[in-house]
Amino acid sequence: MMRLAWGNWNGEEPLLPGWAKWSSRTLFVLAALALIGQFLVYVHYAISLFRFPFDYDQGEGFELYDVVLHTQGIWPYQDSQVFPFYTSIYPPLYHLLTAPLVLAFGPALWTGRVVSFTGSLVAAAAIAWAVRRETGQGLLGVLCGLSFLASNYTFAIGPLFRQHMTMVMFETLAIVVLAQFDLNCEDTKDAKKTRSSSLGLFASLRFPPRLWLGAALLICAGYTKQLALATVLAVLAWLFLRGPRRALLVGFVMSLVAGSIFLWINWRTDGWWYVSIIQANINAFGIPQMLAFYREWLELHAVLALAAFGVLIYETYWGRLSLYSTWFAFAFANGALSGKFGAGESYFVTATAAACVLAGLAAGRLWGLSPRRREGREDNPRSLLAFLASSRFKLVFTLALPILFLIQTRLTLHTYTEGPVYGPLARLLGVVDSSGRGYYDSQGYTQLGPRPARADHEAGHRIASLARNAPGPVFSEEAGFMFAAGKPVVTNAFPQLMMFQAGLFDPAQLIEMIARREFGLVILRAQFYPPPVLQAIGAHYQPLTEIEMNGFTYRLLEPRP
Amino acid sequence: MLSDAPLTKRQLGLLLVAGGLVAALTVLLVDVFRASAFAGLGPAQLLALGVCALIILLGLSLLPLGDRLA
Repeated sequence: MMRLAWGNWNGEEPLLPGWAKWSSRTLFVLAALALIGQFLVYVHYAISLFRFPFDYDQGEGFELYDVVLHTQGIWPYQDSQVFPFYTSIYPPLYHLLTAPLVLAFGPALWTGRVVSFTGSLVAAAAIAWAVRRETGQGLLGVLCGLSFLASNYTFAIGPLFRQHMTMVMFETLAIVVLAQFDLNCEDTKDAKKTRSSSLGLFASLRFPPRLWLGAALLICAGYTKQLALATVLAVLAWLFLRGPRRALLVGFVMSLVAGSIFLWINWRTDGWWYVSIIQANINAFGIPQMLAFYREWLELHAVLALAAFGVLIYETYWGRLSLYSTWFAFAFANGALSGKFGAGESYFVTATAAACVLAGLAAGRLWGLSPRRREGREDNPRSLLAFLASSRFKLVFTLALPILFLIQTRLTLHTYTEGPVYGPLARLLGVVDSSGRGYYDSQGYTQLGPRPARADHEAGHRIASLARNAPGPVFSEEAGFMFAAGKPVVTNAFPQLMMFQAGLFDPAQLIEMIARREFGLVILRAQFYPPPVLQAIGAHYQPLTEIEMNGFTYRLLEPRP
Repeated sequence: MLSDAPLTKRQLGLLLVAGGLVAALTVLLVDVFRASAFAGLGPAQLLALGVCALIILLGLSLLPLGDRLA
């Protein structure tokens, strides 16, 4: 595994000078330590969230409620215009994967956080494995996998009760399964025999199991989160380049399966599945927001992005497009959807995963270049290829590669800044708190990342206690308090707002309940409700208290006398 | 029946040029079918047209690469 560090990867290259070998070793150890350090911060953050029983990111509690509904055999895709004014806008697979934990341990937020965190580790392991498989370099694979986990975006959302990381896991697994698949070389004998028979077109459906496994993983990704469509299209586009007719057949079968599931759920939910999953997700689009996210991603992942674009350009013009490059191109383009109202940095996590694989491939290929004879003549010694294959380049590259990993790690650096370990470490690294909560992130101020403090735990319990003691149902913008208080979950703020903006949500009945003061307590955080609902709350409820939790001010209101 | 041979760089280039043109035409025709808040082309349409132009240029740049596999 450490062959890379010794500067003699394949046993074919001339040994480097002693000083270069030792310098390379030292730099690789430093790069590995830096990435392992970031990984430990990630684990620490994840454990902190596992222990926090309330919403850390808005919407987590509603995802938990989706899981609870599934465990009760109830679809969460409902008419949100009637009590309890609730619907879910995400597909069910992540919730179904979490359901066994909820059935075993009860409705707790750590369940989904553990599933999501595990998904991020599986995705990183798949990246590492892919790089190792393609380059033969285990250490390179590990560094690329750790680079994925060190990304600010992976770090921030990895341990949340959100379905995004599970989607990325399925996407990455699908790509790794399919990347070395060749339509023209991997047909089974049976398939060839069948195709040559008179069954004609549909005989081509006899593809090797690996293709169907990849297709199944893609469908899983899509039924975890709709955003996976870009990866599905990337795979189909790549298959199309390799064998258009059979790619269309694969696409047809996948559409048939995915479409059948879609229609079945839509039938079972009286059409609310389509309204919630598709229509409610068509939001206003802001170009400045999209450009800001692109810029931030490129700045934070500059080394990975340069390597990924380098491989993409090389394969486009000089080589043959790999699935990894095609995936990166589609995932990067899909980042444009981050301009949607309510979208965020998570829309670039798939691009980060693809870039990590391509960075490993770029490093492995550059190292693997060696002077070659082609068609009876050697490469021109003045050519770029000859330079890249030269011992001089190898020497520079062996030293530069760990430095590039170190630069990338510094670009995405995030760490806590207080405490007996983090305090001195932050001073050593020359970073200071950028969140006001003892946390530094190279992307600047960020809501996600700081660990919940004891005061945040106490604040959450105080809010839950007020909710528990309130008469009747509680109107809460976060569902985590409701689970702690033993109250029913009522409303799902953000989907209501989006559906209201799209003309899909009539708040009349909700406003009537508010006007009758049927809610014993109102808990607001970001106030992501339709304006008429907020106006009704303002008219019929008065401030009770304000409580700070995780950097947010929770406004609690009680019925006006 | 559609060929099942792998695509060449030239074929990929042609597909990208055709796709870029169709996409650009669609972007231009959006206003015909849907009311727009902007007189003329809106910022999102201009951005989309820019992307279409890049796709077409990418496709054109692949045409000289001939029969090498894409």
